[in-house]
Amino acid sequence: MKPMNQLAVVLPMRNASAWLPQLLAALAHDWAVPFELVAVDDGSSDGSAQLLQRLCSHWPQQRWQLLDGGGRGVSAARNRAVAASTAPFIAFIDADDRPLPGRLARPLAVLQQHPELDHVHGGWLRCPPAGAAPHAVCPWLEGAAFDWQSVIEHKAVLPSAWTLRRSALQRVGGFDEGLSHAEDVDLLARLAASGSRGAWIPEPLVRYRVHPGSASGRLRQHLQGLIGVLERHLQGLAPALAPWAAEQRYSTLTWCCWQAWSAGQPQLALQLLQQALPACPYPLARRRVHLLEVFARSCRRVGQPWDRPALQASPFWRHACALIDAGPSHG
Amino acid sequence: MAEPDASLHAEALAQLEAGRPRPALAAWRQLLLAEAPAVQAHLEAAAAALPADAIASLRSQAIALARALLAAEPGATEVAALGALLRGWGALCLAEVPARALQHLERAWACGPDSQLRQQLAQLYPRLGYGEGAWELGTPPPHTQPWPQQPCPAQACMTCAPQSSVDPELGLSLLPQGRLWVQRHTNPWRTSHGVAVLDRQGALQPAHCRAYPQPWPACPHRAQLEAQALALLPWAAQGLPPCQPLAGPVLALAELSAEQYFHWHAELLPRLGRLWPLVQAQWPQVRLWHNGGAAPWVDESLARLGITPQQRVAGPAHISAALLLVPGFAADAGVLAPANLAWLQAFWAVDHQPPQGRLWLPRGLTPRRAVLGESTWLQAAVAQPLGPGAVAAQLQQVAAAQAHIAPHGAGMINLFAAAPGAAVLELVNPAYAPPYFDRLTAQQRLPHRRLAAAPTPLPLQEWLYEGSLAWPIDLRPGASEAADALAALA
Repeated sequence: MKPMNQLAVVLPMRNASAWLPQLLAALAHDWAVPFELVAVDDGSSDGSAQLLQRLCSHWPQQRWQLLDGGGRGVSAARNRAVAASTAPFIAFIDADDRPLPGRLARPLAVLQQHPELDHVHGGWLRCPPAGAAPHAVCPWLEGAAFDWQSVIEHKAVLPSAWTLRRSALQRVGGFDEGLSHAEDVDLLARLAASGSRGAWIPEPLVRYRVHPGSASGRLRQHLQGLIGVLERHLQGLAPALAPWAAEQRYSTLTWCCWQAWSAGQPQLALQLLQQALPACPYPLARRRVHLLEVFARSCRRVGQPWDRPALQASPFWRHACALIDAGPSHG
Repeated sequence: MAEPDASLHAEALAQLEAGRPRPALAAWRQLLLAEAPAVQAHLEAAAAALPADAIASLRSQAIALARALLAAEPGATEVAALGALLRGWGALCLAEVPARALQHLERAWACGPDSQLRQQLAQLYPRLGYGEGAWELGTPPPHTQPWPQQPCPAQACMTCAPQSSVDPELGLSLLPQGRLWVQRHTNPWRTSHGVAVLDRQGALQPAHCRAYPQPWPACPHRAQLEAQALALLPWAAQGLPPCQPLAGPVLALAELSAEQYFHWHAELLPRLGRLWPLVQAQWPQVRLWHNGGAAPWVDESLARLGITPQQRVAGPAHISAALLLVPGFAADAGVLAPANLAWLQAFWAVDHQPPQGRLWLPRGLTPRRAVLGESTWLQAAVAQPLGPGAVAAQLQQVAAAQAHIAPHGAGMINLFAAAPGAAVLELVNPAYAPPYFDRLTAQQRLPHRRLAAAPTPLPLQEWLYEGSLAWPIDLRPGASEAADALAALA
């Protein structure tokens, strides 16, 4: 006999009271899906736990539970929720993101119909602050897939759009609780390395909110965390993969450079570029060209306005070019 | 017989690509000095061939740079010379081998960029996906030409799949108001690089179209490469001369590299010969157009077929005809099909006497793939050289020999006339040993050994030659397994 709840919706939260009403209302749209909400309060000081209890008070008891995460971080909170649930499928949702209709139903249906799949991932609507129009992020259109090399190349993962089979998650031991950043990329890469099979659900499943209070607001730590995770997965590769690995290191660091520039932190961007250059696999002639292309593509990927002449005329770009032209020894 | 020091060469390239040309040149000087005898032999051979060299100016620059480095530590003059040389090679490769052009031009950057180099790279980078980034260097082209993907290197490809294929029937397409054009290389050799046949509506006829790069038979990427050829041909059409309309029926035969002896004999001539009597019987006024050029062997072949000069249409690379008759290719590119082989043997009517002696198919000190040390072995009477003369006479010499020694590219297609059981010793550059003749020697039951000559010194591989197919076959005594085998025969 099937357990009543097929899907555990794992919700780690810390000071999320501003988002919980909308989040829970959105989840309720998928009420027909046999899910159980497993929320973990990870050290909130804004009464998030109490608010959640109040908002769920009319839900049947078997449809939700609230756990204490003890402030051990998002990875530990998610793992705790997974351990406390029994459903065969796990959907993650972050408190500040908003599920779109079908967020739960579509992945569950696909995983039930395709027993060969271990996890499925949807697209997402990237919602910038200050009311700018949302932009659909569709990694499958850029060739992102779920084999290990593709995962390392694209690093396309957003937990709020991700649903996994419990057995696959348990096989790799869940999230690495030692990581406070890029733990999702790490998990995706470990799943791929273990031979797990994933697939895209080619539609947006969630509204991903970009705001200073989100995890990516702590930019420097976030980016260095991502770089560290990448480095961890590139260790010990066969010599034949060394050129590919060099490209991944460089492309990740230059993407981080763009991310910092895009967030209005040009000094951090230049530091990241300096960090990138010693491992640059491209000839000197191509380095500026490559960086400009990274900036253009990254902007387009997230729907950010792209003004090439303005960038090229900026002091930031002049400094970046000076670093590139000086070569690695300058870095 | 030592291999060139690839790690030192790689280090030099890395220095150059990182913008440090002097350390790169210093490393290359070390390499040149370490192989000085081989380097000198290659430079002398290249210098000797300059009067007949279509790219004498460029090769002279390479010779001068190498000699300067042999003589002294590099300075600003050598940096400038390296930059000019790499840019020269880059410009030469730009139209048809963009990957090679990019490599040369990116390396030249380290020796001093200027506006021309920036613009050349700005034209190339969008084709690699840097459409926005290219603006950093110049103005990218409004439309992006496809980037030709190369098939696997020949030697790796040989292990990929058995090199066999089923040869198609030799069909004939009738195209009223059909059109045909040949894309010539834009480099000085001007050989045929692409062939397109179109119907009256201007639609490409894929079965009659080909373009380089071509896959080997049984290549797993074949469909992809054939699709690429069809995507590249419309770009080539932009540089064509005006179409020359021709009255009446015209039998039109075109092959890639048909101007070369091998391709003329292995591919174009047999197709022509097999069809010409049938076509002439049905269209007595038919004329012949082909892209094999006007070499003496072409004239001799056509005369032997009975095709008079009045029946030939000379010259234009772009024609249309009231009725264009286009034969199928009858075989994969570069392959001598069994039916073509049988026709060649019947056509040239070689008289097989009891064979005796060894015959050397000479190639000499040509600008491309010179044979170093060839005269040494001929003087040592390892074999009798094939004498000059008409094709028919040469084929009689081939038929009369008991064994053949042939540097790759020395007219080995003539082995179709070899006596059954005659041994073949093929001498190759270790980096260029394509299996063109394996099928021929197997069909003819000729015991066939392929021996490697000495490797081409680094960095001459990149400075002095357009690619591995032009690297010399270095048979200097004591320098290779091929030379050792020849010494044992002397």
